[in-house]
Amino acid sequence: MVDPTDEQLDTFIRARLDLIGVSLDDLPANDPNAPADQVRILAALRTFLRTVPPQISAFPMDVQVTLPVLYPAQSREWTKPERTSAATEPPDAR
Amino acid sequence: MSGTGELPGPSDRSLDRRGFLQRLALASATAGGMASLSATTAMAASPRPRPVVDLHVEQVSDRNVNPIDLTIAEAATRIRDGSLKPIELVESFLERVRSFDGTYQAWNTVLADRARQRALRLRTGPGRPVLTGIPIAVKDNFFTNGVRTTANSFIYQDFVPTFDATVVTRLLRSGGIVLGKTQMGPLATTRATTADGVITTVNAWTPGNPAVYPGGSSTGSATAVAGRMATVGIGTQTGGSITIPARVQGLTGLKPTMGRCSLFGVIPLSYTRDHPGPLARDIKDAAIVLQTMAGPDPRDLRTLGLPPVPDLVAAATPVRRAGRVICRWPTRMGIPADYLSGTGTEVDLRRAMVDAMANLDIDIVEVALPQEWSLLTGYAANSMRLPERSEQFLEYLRSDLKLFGVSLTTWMQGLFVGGDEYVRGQRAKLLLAELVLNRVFAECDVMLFEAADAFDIIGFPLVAFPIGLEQDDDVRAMLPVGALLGGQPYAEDRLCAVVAAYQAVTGHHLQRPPDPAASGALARTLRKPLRMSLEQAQATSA
Repeated sequence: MVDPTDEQLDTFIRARLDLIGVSLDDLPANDPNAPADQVRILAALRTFLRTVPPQISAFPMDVQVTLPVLYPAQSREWTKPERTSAATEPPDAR
Repeated sequence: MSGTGELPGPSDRSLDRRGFLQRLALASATAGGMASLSATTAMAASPRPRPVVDLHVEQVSDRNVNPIDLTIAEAATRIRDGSLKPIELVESFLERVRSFDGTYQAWNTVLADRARQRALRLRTGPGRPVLTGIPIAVKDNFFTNGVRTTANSFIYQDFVPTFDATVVTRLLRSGGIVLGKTQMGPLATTRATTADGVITTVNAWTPGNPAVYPGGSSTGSATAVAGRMATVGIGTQTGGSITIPARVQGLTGLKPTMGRCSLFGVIPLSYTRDHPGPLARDIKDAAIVLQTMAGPDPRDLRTLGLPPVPDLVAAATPVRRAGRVICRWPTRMGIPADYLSGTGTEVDLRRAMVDAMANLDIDIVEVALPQEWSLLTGYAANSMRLPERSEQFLEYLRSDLKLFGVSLTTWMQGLFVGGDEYVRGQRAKLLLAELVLNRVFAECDVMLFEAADAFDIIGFPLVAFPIGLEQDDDVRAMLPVGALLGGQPYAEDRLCAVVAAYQAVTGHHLQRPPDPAASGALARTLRKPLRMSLEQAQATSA
């Protein structure tokens, strides 16, 4: 796997932000005394991009059994047998 | 057995673990997915909130006790019997706010006049609602009708809601008095700072030293309660923001299961992980407040179709058998393999806590966390919460990035999680929930943890409670040490029962920090303000 350069990632970051109407130019270019500036935000985003998407993409999971669920706690209640028995029993085709 | 008599079994007793995943898969495949399933089943089974009718107070507190030191149960009992007036309680706290909040900096807005008027107007006596006359510290991300609600953010600095959050409405209907709005991490991210990162609220145990971590982001509510400027507080937790301040400030903090409390009227951070809950002096108080706050709300679908709120107050009342305190229900407490390893005061306190639990007839079992644990709860998995904040604040990101002050980074990072990665993160979430249910809770009923991340991700309940004090030589002060206990979904009653038994035989929850010294307050005012860096804000963000 190729590790993009900082310049490539900065171009990607700015392009992605441009597409959705977010502008890093709202921030000072390089001001360590400001709450945030472009230099530090770009550095944080480069680190994030090099870390999080590759790790998440590498999660080993079985597509047959692990479905995407936003709310696991509620889902357990919403799918209790008394609520789902009719839906979980397929018709007998014999 | 004494102490409220027999209650039905805890809410985790009917858990059906093994079939969970299979049912979920089949139901989703055949019923068109979770959305349609939840919409059709949820509305039909909405239980009503359970009013608190009996505080199960074993003895009335000494009438010479300063009202600021009373728990809810104690104060409410005295208000009911007429020996304490709500206005006395309110004035006692307002006096402390005047004296000490220049040092603590726990409050954004103190509603002194409004609180006084309400205290004088409330009818008291037997049969009145449970929180009648109880002053409450409310985190500044809960909507309060006609009161500025800032979330310590530039975005909301002038926001005045025209209605109360559902949980605030419920606290008011139960007779509570909102004493004010408390400091918080900007948009509920870090320890309390101004929007541009100047540290505000301090740990009540080290009021002269703002460098000591007070927990985040419900810091203001925690310090208000620990500093005895309110009887109880409410906060929100997305990444440890109730349980961490509770642990480091000697409080009992209860993060309920996702869906127990409505999020309607709460400035959002994460759709899937925001949990309102109490920060209290003991588990009884936490149970009283949670029981008042909890229950279905038609304006928040996440609260519908869930088990009824159990009698948490009864569960939080200790029971005795032959004069000895025991846990209300037979309970197995899991401890991670390395929980008691190592040396030092904190480990000693943990060992003492575990020993005390064993003496309550709680079975202690070592439970190995699944080998996938670090992968499913680590930085990458935890980062799947970030697109949720970015999406709902996108118009402000487009408007001016400076609106996010020192907490900007995680909002920007959320824009760089791809759709496929977010979906995989949700699948990982279900896998984690399955592992917790089928492996961890196959061996125990409650589990001690080091950190809240896993249960914040999957929305399972947590309680933090004090287990002792530790001398910190660096800051030359005694600091609280807290434990963190997780339970099965909607089984907050089991957590309450365990902590109630523990607190009945220990006194750690009774420890109070010394008042700020005048010299400490002066030093604080003269010291150059501490500022949180962009990097610190990212690293500690909820």
